[in-house]
Amino acid sequence: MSSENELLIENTYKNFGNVSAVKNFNLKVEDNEFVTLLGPSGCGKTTLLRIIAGFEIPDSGDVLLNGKSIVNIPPYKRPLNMVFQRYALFPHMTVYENIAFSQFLKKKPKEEIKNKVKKMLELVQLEGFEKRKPDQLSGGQCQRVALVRALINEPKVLLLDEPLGALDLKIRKDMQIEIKNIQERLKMTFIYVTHDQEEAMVMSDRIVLMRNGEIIQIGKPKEIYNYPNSIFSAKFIGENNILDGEVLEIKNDHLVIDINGLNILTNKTSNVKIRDKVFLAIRPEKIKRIYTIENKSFDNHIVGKIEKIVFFGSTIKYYVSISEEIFLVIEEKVAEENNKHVKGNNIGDEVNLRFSKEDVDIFLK
Amino acid sequence: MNKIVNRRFKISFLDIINIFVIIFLMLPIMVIILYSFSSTSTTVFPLEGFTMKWYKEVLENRLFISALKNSVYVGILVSLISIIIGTLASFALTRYRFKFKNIISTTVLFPMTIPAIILGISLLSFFSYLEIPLSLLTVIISHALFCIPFVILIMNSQLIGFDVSVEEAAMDLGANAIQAFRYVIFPIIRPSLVGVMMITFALSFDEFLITFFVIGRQNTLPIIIWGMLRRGVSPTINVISTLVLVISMTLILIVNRYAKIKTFM
Ligand SMILES: Nc1ncnc2c1ncn2[C@@H]1O[C@H](COP(=O)(O)OP(=O)(O)O)[C@@H](O)[C@H]1O
Ligand SMILES: [Mg+2]
Repeated sequence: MSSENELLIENTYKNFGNVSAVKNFNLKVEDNEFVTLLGPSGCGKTTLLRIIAGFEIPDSGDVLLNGKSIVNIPPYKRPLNMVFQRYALFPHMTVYENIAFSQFLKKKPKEEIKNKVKKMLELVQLEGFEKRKPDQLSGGQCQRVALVRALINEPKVLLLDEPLGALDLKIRKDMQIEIKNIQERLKMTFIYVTHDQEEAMVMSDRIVLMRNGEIIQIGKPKEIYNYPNSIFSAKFIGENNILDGEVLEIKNDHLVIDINGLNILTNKTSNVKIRDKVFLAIRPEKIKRIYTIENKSFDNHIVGKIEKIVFFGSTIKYYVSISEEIFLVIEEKVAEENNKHVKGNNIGDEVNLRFSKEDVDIFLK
Repeated sequence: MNKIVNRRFKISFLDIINIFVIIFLMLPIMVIILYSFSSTSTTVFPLEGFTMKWYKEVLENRLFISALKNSVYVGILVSLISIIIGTLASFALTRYRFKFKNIISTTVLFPMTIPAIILGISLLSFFSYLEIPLSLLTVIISHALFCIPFVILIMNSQLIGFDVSVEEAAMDLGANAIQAFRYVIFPIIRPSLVGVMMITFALSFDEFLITFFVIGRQNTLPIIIWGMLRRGVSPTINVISTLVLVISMTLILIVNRYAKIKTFM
């Protein structure tokens, strides 16, 4: 059954004038999968979703659902539904009418529509809101209505365009979980668009990272986080310390990179030469503060000065200056931070930092 | 919910202001209606006696009745024609990109800025050049000419604010173009359409200058009234005004009633 509801996007291009909104796009979405298109605003996420929904015709390429091309099918005949960026509820209809609209068009019997709408309202805990108009709902409630208005049609694939973009942080976090739960419960395929990398990490089975209309990296959230394939991935997903340097030495099992006079050891990668310009990326949580340098199990030892300490609740961040030009962010669990023997707990204190060469990602410029 | 219900019964400062504004707006109309029943032939205060004789006089006046019919007929047709053309033009101007769009979107508003007397003269020479005999048809064409810009202007402001994704949502949910218009676009722009309908009807109904040039041998209400005024103010003017008012109100009610499309439930 795995080929059921398989969506395939092949070599798709779309230009607006001389803006290339989608470029050489290839993606396969499996049944029941939650795939997120992630990327900065303007990178072509909406355009791609609109191509899938049928509101844009690609300049070239194909979109296939279960092996059949759908690019020439008008939107109202495609077995897909979309949740729009700004809800796009029908302002003159009640909640009930909004949700029932697609079923009414399909000429379903009244009784059946009534039952289905009831089920949908239960799904998003909006029982009793049938008679309200959209302008009598909060943002979160509008979003729920928009969601079930699309879901009631039982689409093969549900497309969601930054559905939580307009909501407060707290409601957004709740809705992320709620949408994910609904997707798992209904066993449906979701293609979700967001520019918020944290949202993408929380919800997705797979993330498609995009820039300027192109795919940069595809992978499970953990894969992309742990193994970014480019400086763009490293910067966009999660937090990273990015250092700008040049290859100084190539040893048997490691490289020595010169960062403005500071030497950092990294794993060996095959494709670098001496004097190559490179970026290094080190996750804040991979850098440890230590009291003494008693063993050599960490490859990199650096001394710095604490410039700023920011408390985040369960974590705490130290902003450390290594030299005039080099700054590092270090993130610790608060439980770790309580280790009183660690030297340097106050602004202005000197700290010893260490991290292993495996934890440094290296990217050619 | 309780709070909302309770508040409805409190009269606020704003309500009082509202009442005064309404009285202020309605007073001249009320005066006209009252004096149309006045038995004296001059407008004196306080009112003296009650009579229907002016009504009788007006309603027995053939000239008046045919002019009234003509005006209503012209008004309705002008309203329909300019709404259809103007709304379609507005859709094109707000939704689509095409060559010379900027130039076109300003030129279509020109008739509004041209003084009526010049418009009247040019239309007259235009019709005679094309050898179109002057009739109610030329009146309708001329009125539509200056009503269309109003329709475009009003519908533009409505359609620019129209969230296209609402329309796309309808199509996404299975509505073809006609269904999307019928169930979503039309109900949303309906209030504007009704407003435009009334404005264009009113514009046409009391248009005098242009009509004067292009009407030929028939009459519309303003032409008749103008002729009557040349012979001095008579209480029949009040009667005509009252009748016009009643006709307008009835039309508004009818339009409101029939333009109302229920949502599908
Ligand atoms: N209808 C359009 N006309 C012209 N340019 C467009 C249109 N839609 C999108 N674009 C351009 O295409 C690019 C991608 O846009 P979009 O898909 O909306 O990005 P995202 O959703 O990732 O923010 C942007 O540069 C945008 O300006
Ligand atoms: Mg977008």
